[in-house]
Amino acid sequence: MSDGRLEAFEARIARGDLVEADDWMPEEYRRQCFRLIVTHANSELMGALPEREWIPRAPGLKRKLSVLSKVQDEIGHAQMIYRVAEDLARPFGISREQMLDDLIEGKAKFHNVFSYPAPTWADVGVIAWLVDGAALETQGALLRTSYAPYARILRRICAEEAIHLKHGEDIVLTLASGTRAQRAMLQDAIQRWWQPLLHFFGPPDELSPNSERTFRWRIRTRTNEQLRQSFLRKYAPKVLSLGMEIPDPELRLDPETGDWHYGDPDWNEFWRVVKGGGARTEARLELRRMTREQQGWVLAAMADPTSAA
Amino acid sequence: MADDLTVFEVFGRERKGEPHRHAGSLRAADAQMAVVLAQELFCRRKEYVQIWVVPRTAIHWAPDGDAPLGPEPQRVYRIGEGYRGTVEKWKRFGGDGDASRG
Repeated sequence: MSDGRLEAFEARIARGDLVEADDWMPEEYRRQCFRLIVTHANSELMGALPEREWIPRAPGLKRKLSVLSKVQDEIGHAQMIYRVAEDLARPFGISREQMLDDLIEGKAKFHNVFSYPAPTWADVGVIAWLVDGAALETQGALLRTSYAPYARILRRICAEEAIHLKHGEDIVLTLASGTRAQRAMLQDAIQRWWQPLLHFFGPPDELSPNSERTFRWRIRTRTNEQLRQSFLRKYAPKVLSLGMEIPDPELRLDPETGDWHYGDPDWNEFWRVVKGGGARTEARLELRRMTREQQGWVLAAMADPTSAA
Repeated sequence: MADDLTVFEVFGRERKGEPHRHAGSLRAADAQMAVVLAQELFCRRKEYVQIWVVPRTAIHWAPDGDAPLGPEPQRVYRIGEGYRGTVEKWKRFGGDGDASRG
């Protein structure tokens, strides 16, 4: 790159400027943004599935409506984020259809947490409170990304995720103030979700040239470990104050740094899951495949409304 | 099929009398379908009193750079600052020099 465009781009980023879809950007910047954004879109889409399983089983109409609207929001988020990803991926010749194909063929990544089962109602509460809480840490930090179209759509998404978190918090608080059986159900769900939640943020960033550029270009502004610590500071005390146990004997607050020390969360398990080996990965991808096939006629009718007689 | 879809930019008016602001974008077969989808995607919580959908290809823009568009700053006759002297001038006529009334 001897034409000075890369230098000019880097100088722009360094003085806090933002990048728009039509601006010139280094191919590597485009590739890194695309990977981050399509993974987020896939996660919104796949994230709706564990909760969708609970729409028919939610206890009472009020809860059913909450879960229903959360699922609708998550699918809406996926739509908006795929749209941002599409504009980025056009020069690569990758369409939204290709992204959706890659997802159901198991070629694309999505967040580890959506590969686990949600066997009880307490899981629904813990997912909406803590998984959405974790997602809000990540997405809140991405509001400051240098790729402006993503930051703009994230403002709307974060506002809706904050409501999901309230919905989850309400379920968890209800269970925590309930019967012994309800509290036990909540404790079991926390037992199941704690390690996946630590995994959610990913392993501590290595100082690879790739991640060095990610931060220099402000695609991301906070490291995995900073985000995990921010999550722990907010939520570990809350979980403990409910009288719940956190399944990590090594977990303790360092009063000097304010950081939480945690036991090795078994990163092999994390890698196994993100590479497609999670307990429910295959079943949920199968559900996506089935949905895409069975509802293809809706897409076809929407694409050509005049022919849908 | 999907290749025939048009990208629409969506703009929403939050309150009567306010200008429309960019909300996001979507793909649809035609404007009518775009309006339906825009309501699904951007109006689940009474965010807007009105929405517009505009085919992206209908939007044109001036070449942008780092500085805001517009004339050079020394062309102060285009902005209020160019007429700051009115305060002093009013004093000659016994005015209280309140520029907002001048």
